[in-house]
Amino acid sequence: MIKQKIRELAADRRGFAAVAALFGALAGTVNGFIGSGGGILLIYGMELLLGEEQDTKDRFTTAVVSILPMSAISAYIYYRNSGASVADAAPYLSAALFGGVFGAWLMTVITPKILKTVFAVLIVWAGYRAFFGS
Amino acid sequence: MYIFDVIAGFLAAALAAMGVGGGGLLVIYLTEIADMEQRLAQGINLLFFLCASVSAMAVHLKTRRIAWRAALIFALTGAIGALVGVSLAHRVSNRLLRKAFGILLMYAGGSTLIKTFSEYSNGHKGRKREGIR
Repeated sequence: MIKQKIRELAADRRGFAAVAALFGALAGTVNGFIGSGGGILLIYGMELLLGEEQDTKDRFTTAVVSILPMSAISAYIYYRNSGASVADAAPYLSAALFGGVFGAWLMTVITPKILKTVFAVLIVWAGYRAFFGS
Repeated sequence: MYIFDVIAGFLAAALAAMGVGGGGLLVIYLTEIADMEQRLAQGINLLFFLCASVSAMAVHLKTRRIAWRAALIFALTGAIGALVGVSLAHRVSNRLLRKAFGILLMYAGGSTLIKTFSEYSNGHKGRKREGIR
């Protein structure tokens, strides 16, 4: 019901901008606070704003492009405040450059549906541990 | 161990570039296996995400259509949200951050599982599956 209302609101240009602005702000806040997860909110927002016709891979790409500036700002402040130094991150960063290209290329060949499901189980388990653990 | 870190980084980036894991996989590795505190893991994950996504986008941008109007609005208000979120993250305990992260993971994983199962059960009717492709 709320979904339907938001969809109606987003039908005109102004409403679209308002709903997008809200989801952007929420995603930025979550992404800064938890260091991940902003994209999930943007993808949900786009389902409401742009509907089912939008290709899921296009939706994903749009989410990542939008998250980039938020993550850049957040990463910079983390780096300044909590000593998340580039030296700590170095092994992951260089690997990330290659991993990113590899994964993106792989996605042009396959649709990782089974992989998504397998990792969803792992993620729920890790989430349970993080929430209830010490 | 350095080599495990590199392998974990590579795999986490490859999976993130495919939209698997919601960007939280490296944080899970850093906190569960590398025994890092939550806030530091989050900071490293953000730096990591920048590298992984810039290189992934170089490939994606050629083949995908981006909803630019939505992306622009998201980025603008998201930048403000980021400032709020990060300053909050530096005012609360690691314990609370970890709980919030746990909720995010359970939500992300749970919604993926629900979606998969509903698509699977609707798949026989064929209607929804046609629409999504």
